[in-house]
Amino acid sequence: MDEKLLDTLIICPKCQALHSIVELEEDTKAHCATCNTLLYKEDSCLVDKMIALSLSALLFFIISNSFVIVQIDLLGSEEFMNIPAMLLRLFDSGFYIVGLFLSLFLFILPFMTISIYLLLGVAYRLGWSGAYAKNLLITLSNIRLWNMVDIFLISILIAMVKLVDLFALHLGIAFYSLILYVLLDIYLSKSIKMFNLWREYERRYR
Amino acid sequence: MSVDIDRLDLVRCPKCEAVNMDTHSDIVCRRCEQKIFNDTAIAKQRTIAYLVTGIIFFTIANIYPMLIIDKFGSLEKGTIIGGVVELWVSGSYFISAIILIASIFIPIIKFILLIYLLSSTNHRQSNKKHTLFHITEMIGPWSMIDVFVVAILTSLVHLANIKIIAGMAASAFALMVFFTLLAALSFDTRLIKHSRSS
Repeated sequence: MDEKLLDTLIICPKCQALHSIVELEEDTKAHCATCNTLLYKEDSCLVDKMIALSLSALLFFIISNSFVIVQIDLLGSEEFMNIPAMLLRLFDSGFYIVGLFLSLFLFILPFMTISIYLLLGVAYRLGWSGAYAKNLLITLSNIRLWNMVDIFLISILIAMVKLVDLFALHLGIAFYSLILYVLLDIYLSKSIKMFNLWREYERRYR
Repeated sequence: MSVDIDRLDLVRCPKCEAVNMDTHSDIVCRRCEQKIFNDTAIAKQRTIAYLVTGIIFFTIANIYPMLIIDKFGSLEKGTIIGGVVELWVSGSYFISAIILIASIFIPIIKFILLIYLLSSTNHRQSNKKHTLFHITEMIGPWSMIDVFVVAILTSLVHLANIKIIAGMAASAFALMVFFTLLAALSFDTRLIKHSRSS
């Protein structure tokens, strides 16, 4: 089977059913005929949308790591938590393995993911070299599954429920910023499919 | 129109989603030029190794304490199951159920699904196996909830008279999640395909 023919095919990531790629009209989506998973969509504003969403997500990510997420108060003693403080506390307590994994899953890889979306958008918009864009796409493919900030947000809510009877809890600006970051991150990963990013790469550089 | 790829010699690159020819050995993707599949026998051995490591760490995580509460110098140690029972008894049924599902059920379901997918490669099976593998990939990270909760509590409750300290189980559990994620990532989906066409 030659490459041109292979370029006209797509395999569903969920059920592995093979489909022919059809050209879609603007703002329409192609779903798997077997399991209804979204395969790709036609979006002429893909690059602009990616830059706008990733820039907003990056801003909220910086805010959520710079300010207090939650603060507890017991008889005048106060303690606060945000992601960098939590990681430092883990390393200080000698929990290097947990500290290392949490640094990767909650800080380094999410920051890299958002930065790559932004750089990729800028690379497409400004016509940077194809090799650079390709490296960004490969890195994004490798790391995007390891972002666990959404799970961390649920964990904060569970921890708060555990502590609410014992301490006075105060939510900081970083908590709301983290919610907005997670919503933007989910929207970004759901609305901008890897298939579309690679197709955009092929349109521009092949 | 959709076609079952197991009747054709085609594979999907998990990195760039390009459709490639299945050469039944090492495959380098024609688009992203990344090595996407090793020899299936090596891939199977690697997945088994990661899975066994994950099961060992899961056992350790359930034996040792997850959380140690230092209250005025006296230490209270709690395991994962102990924490679930304590939350249930105190009336936090919803939180207890979430921890039970995330920390016990999800890892066990993941182990069972991977063992099933690995052990059934020589048998003709239903075409739901790709979906089962997709579920295995998706649910894995949610096991980290308990580790995150422990890290948050350790960071927050560090007062003069009351401290929460992470137990050895937290490290073991984080390693278990890491290795089971690696097991899912290293699983060669062609093993499912070969079983269906055998």
